[in-house]
Amino acid sequence: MSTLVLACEVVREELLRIRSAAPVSFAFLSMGLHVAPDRLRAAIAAELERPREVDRIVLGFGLCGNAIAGVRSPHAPLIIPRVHDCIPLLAGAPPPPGAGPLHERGTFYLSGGWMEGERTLYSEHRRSVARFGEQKALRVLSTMLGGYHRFLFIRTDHPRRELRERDAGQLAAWVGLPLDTVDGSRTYLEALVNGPWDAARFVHVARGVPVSPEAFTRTTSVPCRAACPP
Amino acid sequence: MTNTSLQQAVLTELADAVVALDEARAVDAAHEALNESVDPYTAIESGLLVGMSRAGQLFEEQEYFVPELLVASDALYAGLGVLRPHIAADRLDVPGKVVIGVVEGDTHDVGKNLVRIILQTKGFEVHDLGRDVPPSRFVDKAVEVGADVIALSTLMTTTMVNMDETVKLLAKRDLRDRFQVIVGGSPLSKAYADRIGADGYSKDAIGAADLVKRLVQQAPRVAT
Ligand code: B12
Repeated sequence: MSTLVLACEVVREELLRIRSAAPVSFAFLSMGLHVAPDRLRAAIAAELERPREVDRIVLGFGLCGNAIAGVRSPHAPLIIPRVHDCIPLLAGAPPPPGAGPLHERGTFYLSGGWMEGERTLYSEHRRSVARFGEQKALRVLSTMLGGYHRFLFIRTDHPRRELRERDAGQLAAWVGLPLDTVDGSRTYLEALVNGPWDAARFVHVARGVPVSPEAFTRTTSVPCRAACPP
Repeated sequence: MTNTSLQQAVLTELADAVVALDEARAVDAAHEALNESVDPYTAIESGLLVGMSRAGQLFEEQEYFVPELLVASDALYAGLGVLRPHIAADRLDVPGKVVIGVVEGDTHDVGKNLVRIILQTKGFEVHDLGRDVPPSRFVDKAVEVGADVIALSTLMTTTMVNMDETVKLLAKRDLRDRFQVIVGGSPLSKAYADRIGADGYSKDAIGAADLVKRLVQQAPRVAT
């Protein structure tokens, strides 16, 4: 059984470090797409339409602002982590069943991928310094982060983790917010690559069937039915 | 230049100043509009707001990023500050009252702020509750100020459910018929608005203002 993992660049480094006994291939899409859910949807749909010889396609995306709502995979069944965005994937813990996958308020999450990706808080700030000058750019950044009280850097086995954590420290210093760190866990991403794709953590969508956003808001204790892999 | 083409040039300059993200230029253009006796209301509607919707368009086309939108709205506000005090008193009629906020659990407020600015620009009395607003605060505030419309914003699929909660709370307090509820934010749709029993949805800020206008002009949900 072969697997294609089609994922966001934000988890690229972590995914590429996961060993697998079965054949797995990877394809990545730019993180820049996360700013425009409609474009992200189109990009994912285009990838899924390409004819491929795989038995299943696992998405390394969450619902991402409804970006994946309605996409279909014509050639292979889809498996999608039951998350609204990449933060639980990096943290390694699926949202507790029933509690709803809520983020901690006022916390902005960072990781190696979030520091390196396109069109993130960090890259946009550097671009806006170049465009507007430091003072105005800093005001813009502070406006964006008006509701936040801290950054939380999720430590994964990203190869440039220490460097990116230092960059994160600088970002935090610019806006005068503390930077905390937490160890992420590989368990969720490992299951994403190698299974088991249990229904508590993964949504299963048959070939040609559009992804329904409701599957992500439902409580997660549904037993694995016909659509689940052997 | 004739008088009207001069006035037209000022309107264009007002719009361009916003698109150019230039606060000082917007202020200058606003003063020039007053000097050229451009109706201040027209200067806002056909100058500053045209610029803001062009900036929104550039954002859609990925020419502009979120920081650009924030700076564009600074320029809009700066021009507004000059023009606002000169609007004739009969134009200052408040067409309606709106309570707006981002629902509980979400702190994305760039879009909500744009909607607020456009509504204010169009003369609506807007009570902005900010971000991360629990359902009861929307309801209490709407009652307190006698709002016509409650406008709910969210950008996260994780918090959309709190729009539903707010509509339900209105029903629970027997207030559903007193207020029009509108919703917006990028993960939302007309279909979702219908599903939770909201009265309207719009995909952008200009559309939101038109929607509010339409809803307020219709007979109120119940005469009070
Ligand atoms: C900018 C942005 C941010 C900024 C927000 C700054 C601020 N103060 O608002 C920052 C960088 C701080 C941020 C933070 C986060 N974000 Co964010 N963010 C975005 C992004 C890229 C753009 C949003 C935006 O400002 N657009 C520009 C404005 C003008 O557009 P708009 O908001 O859609 O508003 C327009 C219309 O929708 C409409 N409208 C809006 N409100 C209303 C209301 C009414 C009544 C009406 C009629 C119309 C209307 O009119 C507006 C103007 O035309 C979106 C992607 C997207 N969906 O667009 C992600 C997005 C919303 N974020 C996301 C994520 C994951 C996060 C973080 C978790 C990331 C992190 N690393 O921690 C954090 C949140 C942390 C937490 N604890 O919850 C996800 C949400 C996932 C989810 N769970 O649902 C999104 C969808 C990205 C994605 N594709 O995955 N984010």
